Amino acid sequence: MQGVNSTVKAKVKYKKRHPSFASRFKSNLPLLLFVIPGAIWMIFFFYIPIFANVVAFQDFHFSAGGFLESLRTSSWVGFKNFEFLFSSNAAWVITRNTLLYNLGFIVLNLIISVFFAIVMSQLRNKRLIKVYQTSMLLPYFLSWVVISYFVYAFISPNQGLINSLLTGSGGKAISWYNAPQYWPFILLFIGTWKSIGYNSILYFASAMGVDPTLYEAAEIDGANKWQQIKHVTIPALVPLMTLMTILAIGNIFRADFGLFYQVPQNSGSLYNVTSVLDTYIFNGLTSTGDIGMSSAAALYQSFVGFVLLMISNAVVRKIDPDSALF
Amino acid sequence: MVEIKLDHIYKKYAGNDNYSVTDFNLHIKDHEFIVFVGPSGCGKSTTIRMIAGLEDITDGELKMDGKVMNEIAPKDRDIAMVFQNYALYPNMTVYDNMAFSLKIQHVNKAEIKKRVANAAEILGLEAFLDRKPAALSGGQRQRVALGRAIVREAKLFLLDEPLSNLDAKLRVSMRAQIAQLHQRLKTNMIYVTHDQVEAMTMADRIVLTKQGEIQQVGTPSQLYNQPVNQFVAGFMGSPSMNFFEGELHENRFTTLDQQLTVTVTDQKLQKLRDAGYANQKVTMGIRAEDIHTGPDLLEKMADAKVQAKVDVAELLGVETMLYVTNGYQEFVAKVNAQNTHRPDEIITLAFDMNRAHFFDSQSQVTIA
Repeated sequence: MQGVNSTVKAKVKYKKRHPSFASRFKSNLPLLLFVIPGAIWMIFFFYIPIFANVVAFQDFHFSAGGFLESLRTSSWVGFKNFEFLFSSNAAWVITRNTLLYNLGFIVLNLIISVFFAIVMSQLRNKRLIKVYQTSMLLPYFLSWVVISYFVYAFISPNQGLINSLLTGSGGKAISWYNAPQYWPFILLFIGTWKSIGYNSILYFASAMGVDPTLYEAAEIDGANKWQQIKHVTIPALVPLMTLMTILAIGNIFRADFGLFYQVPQNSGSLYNVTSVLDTYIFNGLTSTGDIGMSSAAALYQSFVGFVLLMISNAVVRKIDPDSALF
Repeated sequence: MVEIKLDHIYKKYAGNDNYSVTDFNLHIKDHEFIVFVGPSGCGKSTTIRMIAGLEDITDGELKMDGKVMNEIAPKDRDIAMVFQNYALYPNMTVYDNMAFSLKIQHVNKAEIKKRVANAAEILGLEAFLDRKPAALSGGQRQRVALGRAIVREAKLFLLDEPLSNLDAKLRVSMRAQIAQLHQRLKTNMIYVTHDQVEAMTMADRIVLTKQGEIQQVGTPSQLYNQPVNQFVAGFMGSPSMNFFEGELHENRFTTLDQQLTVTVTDQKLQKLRDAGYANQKVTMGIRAEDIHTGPDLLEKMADAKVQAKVDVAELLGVETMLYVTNGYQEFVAKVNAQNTHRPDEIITLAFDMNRAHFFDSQSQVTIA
């Protein structure tokens, strides 16, 4: 009997089936259809424009034949646009501003968001938590244009609330939009205020995931509220804090255009402290119309951003492989 | 160590109409190992949490060594607690987990080291002191949780279902370890479990609760052999006690379907008659191990013989569990494995009526 079985087994050959491309395409068709709109958008607005980066190496001038014709007719200047960017003081100022503001946002966002998340996690009144969350999240959904008017209402040189208070109490009015020394603080404050609600919700969700018996164990071990936060809550938030920080470092060369353009109302006398890569590129394009120069600045931003993203991803992969982007 | 008194303790949660714990009275003596046992939702965990100070006491007084503790913070009650899910700090090593409470109390480093080393030696954790909880097995984590309690040298140990996340084999060995620990430390221990086997094997005294009320407090043997009501009789022991609804006629107990009739012993009959149950409805209870199939016992218990059909026979090694049916009544017998029985076989069983219990059919209180 055994012999018969083994003969039968030997004769039956199990063919390993690899589904063909056509059959896989067919079975995944509904999912692929879902992808199409997003893919088209990505191709037109992200992938095709990559090729237009060549203008960073050209003395670009529009000609009647359209963009492609302009590309053909514009002369090649090699790295001249970059040379100009880096030989001027602008490159240093915009790089310094972009990096320092973003570093400031990373630190402030981390500390303040975690602080508020912990405060909310200690609240027992669920309704109050919702009220706080909503009111903290509200600025996140406001447009920078709207916020720039809020700011204007406070610091308008003539009718602004702060100047009224200053003059009312015998002080001197400040021409805020011409006083660069205040703007690093104003920008850091406004930027943090806008994003704090969103970030603190992330940390709050993580804090709420902490096993409540850990607090009970700590309470029995004699830990007071602060010690419970220090030894239970904060360690539980560390992985998320690390991840958020590393991801933010990956974006450190990408400034929030709305904040730096709208809130200072593109005031020329503030450029030294408000000009960041994004606003510099935009201003360069709108004022001088030099597409080559602006593209060089944009390519510089993208390149450094890409390098930082790769580095931060490598770091994330080392710390927590599951959280890595690729 | 410490004497604990729970005096008319009540617990009611906000938004809940019913009390979770009702009129809980208990006096725990020095060095005692008390086990709170009962089905889910019986208030046993709530009670231990009230003793720990993790829940407020709605009404009544909790006293330790005569001092009212209701308003005292958990850290000032001189207790140590072991949780069901271990509650180990995931970011700390085994050493730091055990040392945490001492560090907070600013105990000096040498003393901390000594106490942790001592606890690690008792629990066999020396090799794991540098590991984090995630790198430990369930049994090791539970030992760390116990270690954390040991280093505190607390007067009272509270253990809230500490073994329920472990597999059956590990549970048996940890059970023995905890019992040994109690012998060694000579502290008071209050242990919560839903497993009556744990309660029976570990307790000096068992507190059996149901729906927030104490049913019986006593030694394992008292609860097993002299249950005060049908609930206690049914809860303690595995398999559960068999219950038969029936009536007393003269000296015989007959089930309602008239299919099963046994003679009641004179002693029990006297008690039943004295309590006014002659010719009345009663519930008879008999444990599986008090039903026999051996020929000699059948002869000896000739006036308590019952015919039944075997539904399932489970061989457990030395014994066989017989699930049998008599009329509409199903019951279980734990018999000697040497007496082999097959499903669908009609067999004769004998009830050891000296070991039978009788309960009031309405109130379920024990009569005899």
